[in-house]
Amino acid sequence: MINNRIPSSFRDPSSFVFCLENKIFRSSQPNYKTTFNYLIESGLYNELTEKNYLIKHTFIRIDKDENQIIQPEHIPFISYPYEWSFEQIKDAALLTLKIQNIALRYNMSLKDASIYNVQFLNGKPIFIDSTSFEFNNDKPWTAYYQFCKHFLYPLWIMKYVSPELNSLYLSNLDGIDPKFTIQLMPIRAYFRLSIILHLLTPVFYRTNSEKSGSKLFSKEQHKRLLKHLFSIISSLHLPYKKGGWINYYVNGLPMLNYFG
Amino acid sequence: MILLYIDPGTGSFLVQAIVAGFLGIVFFFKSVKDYILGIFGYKSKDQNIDDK
Repeated sequence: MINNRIPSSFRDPSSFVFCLENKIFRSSQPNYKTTFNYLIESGLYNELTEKNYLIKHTFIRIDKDENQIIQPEHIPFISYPYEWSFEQIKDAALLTLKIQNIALRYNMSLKDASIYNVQFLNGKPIFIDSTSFEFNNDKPWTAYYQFCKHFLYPLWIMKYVSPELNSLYLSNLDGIDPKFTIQLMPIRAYFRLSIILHLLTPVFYRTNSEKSGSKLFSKEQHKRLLKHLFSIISSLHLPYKKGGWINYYVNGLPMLNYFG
Repeated sequence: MILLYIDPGTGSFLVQAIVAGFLGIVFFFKSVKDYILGIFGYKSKDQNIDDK
């Protein structure tokens, strides 16, 4: 089965995706078993799938190496963030935050908040990585910085610079760096508290060591952070621009009796 | 070479502590504002993360 491993599924040490007879399967490693079982047994999986936030899967079997094989629901059309509109990226971001908020209630957390973990199914965003969960144990959100790079900074760039810059996802597969975002953003953007907090603070205070990682981060603080990110993103809108078609019915048709 | 799942420092734990601490103050004043506006019958229309 390893031979059928999909080459792009290399990052997560706890699972990988493979293809067999045109069907997609996910194999999760024995060291991830406790976490994965907890996701199912705690009721988190049920809550997320009932809300259509997380992709449903069917359990297939445990193979000879103790890997758990599951078959996720089939997504007929795969699309990528550089093809998505501003609103689609925004919906994907809000979905990630909602999942993280619910997971916290079960003492779980998303260990990565990559935009590539979201796809669109029946017009709605859906989280496709069933093995992205880990125990939280009152730690800060491991994926916070990744969330900013994959969702928040691109959305700000699209809003403040140009909506066409979703193309930046093509050249920045790991999300957009805060320093690069600062170079692009106009001065007027810095009058916003959200931008000072989530863009400037990481640049000035981010250290490359996790020595402060042992500090506890209460659920209350964690929820506050998520609530703030949610309110920032849900209130982001592209500036209204008058397009060529806006007065079509007034100017576009030369005469009202044009069609006779 | 070990392939790292996410880049080092990704947690930005210190940043989150600073941001969350500051948000405590922000949300305190917001709740005061919402309470006062609530007395006059205004209700915040903001989308909430806990909404169904």
